[in-house]
Amino acid sequence: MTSSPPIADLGFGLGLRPKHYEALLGEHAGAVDWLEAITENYLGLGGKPLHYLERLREKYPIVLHGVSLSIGSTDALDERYLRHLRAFADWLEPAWISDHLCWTGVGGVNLHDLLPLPYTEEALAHVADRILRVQELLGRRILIENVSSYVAFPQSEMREHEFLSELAVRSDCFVLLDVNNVYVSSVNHGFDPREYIAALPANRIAQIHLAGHSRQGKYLIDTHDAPVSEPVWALYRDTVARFGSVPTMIERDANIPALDELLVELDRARTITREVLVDAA
Amino acid sequence: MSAALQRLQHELQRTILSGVTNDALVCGTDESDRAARLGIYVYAYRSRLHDALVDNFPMLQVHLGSDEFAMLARGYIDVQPSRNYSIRTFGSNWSEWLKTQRPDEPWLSELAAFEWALGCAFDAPNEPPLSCDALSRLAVETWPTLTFRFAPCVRHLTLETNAPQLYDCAARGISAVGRHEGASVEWLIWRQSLRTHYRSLSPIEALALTSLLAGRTFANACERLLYHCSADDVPTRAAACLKRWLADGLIVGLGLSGSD
Repeated sequence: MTSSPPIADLGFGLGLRPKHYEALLGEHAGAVDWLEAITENYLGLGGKPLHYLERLREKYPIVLHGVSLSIGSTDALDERYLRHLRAFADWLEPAWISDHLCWTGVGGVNLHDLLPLPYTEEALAHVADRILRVQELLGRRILIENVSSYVAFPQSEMREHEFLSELAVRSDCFVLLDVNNVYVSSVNHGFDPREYIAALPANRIAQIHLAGHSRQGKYLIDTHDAPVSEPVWALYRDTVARFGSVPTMIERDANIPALDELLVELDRARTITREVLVDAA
Repeated sequence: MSAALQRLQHELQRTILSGVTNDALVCGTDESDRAARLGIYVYAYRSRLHDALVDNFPMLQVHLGSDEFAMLARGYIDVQPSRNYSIRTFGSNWSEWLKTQRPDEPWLSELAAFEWALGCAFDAPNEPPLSCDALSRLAVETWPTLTFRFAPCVRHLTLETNAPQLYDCAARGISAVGRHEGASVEWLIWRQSLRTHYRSLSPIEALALTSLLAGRTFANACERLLYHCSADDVPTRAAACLKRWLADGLIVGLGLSGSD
């Protein structure tokens, strides 16, 4: 399963949301380099969602980002979902497919949340095996994203970045590094986010997510309902310094502003990357 | 086998579904910290499913008001965990559940059924509609055993309340509309190109449509039309139905009874 080509550096993208369909096709056509579509918003559907996805893929590279793979669940892999995803990907030809380092339910239930795992050797072996199987079924290597978390488990035997790094090596997958998630979890669990990022294997980092979060008492919540925060921008600068130019995009899922506003945020990511790369040259 | 992981996941899921936090599951500085952390997931679960219902039943929320809608949603969420990979389908049993909860207010479950059908028509898989030419090329002797395949977006509902009118008024921002029951009316909901449509059906069209949707042959559907019109009228009425369905893009395939 190492026959897939290396991940391309697509540049700077956005999470595709229906509110921006027309602007991306019309007045702002070409304003972003690529788009990330939520897999479950299109899988098995037709009508307007598919109509716009078809039109947009003529203008932009598209990547698929799933929320229901549940790679960490102890339920059997949902092969029906994977068969649909394979057929959909064969048709859409996304630049890549990603999902999350999490589980979403057991006993056939889907909690529609990205639940964290205990970082144990048992869990590592379990998830690595499943990623290998998924990659076999999909016929390509996938990207696995670190999630924001609010709980940690007493059973954990290693730190999250150690688990993620080892997982990428064992299963020969890539990492979608969500910088906001690293920051949110670092505040919630009291670790150093720079140490986390510095420890990840550079040759596995294939995509970066940026997003906003909100505060709830002493915890940070990954709400995707606000602009990227200053501490996350600072961490992004460190991330680019560590990994160089990596395809980067902004996610916004609530309080979604007009496209112009997100394009200004995305320009900041471009500027940071340019500045860091110039400094490094 | 990942036995410890499996136990942990079932325990945490039980906590999230029940809302009764088992704070021994997770790390934290003290009991209240552990409970607060688990509470984030408990709250997010209900909030996310509530939002999925709001997205799919916006006009029902208009008629009920946010508070009553939320109360009913909580009841549904408590007894109907999602079992599909897409949260989009979470409301698939909402109408049936409402029927059991509010048997004296049938408009409520019927409005939910109507909105659900509209949502399904909106993003059902695409299939190219059959042209009139495809039918006109058929040999006469094939017609009696002919069966029809309808587009995945086609939905048929029998409603006894004015749910479609309630939907329409809410969508237009008109609040002063009475809820009433009457004789049952058959409704057709579908999508043509990207637009969702709905209309009521005459008894003859409803009978023809339900027969053919159930996979009956054209001859069998015509026989059933004899309940509503004379034998002389059947060919004309059946042809009129087919013509309209073809124009609306409802038919996507043909078959012959007894063959694959």
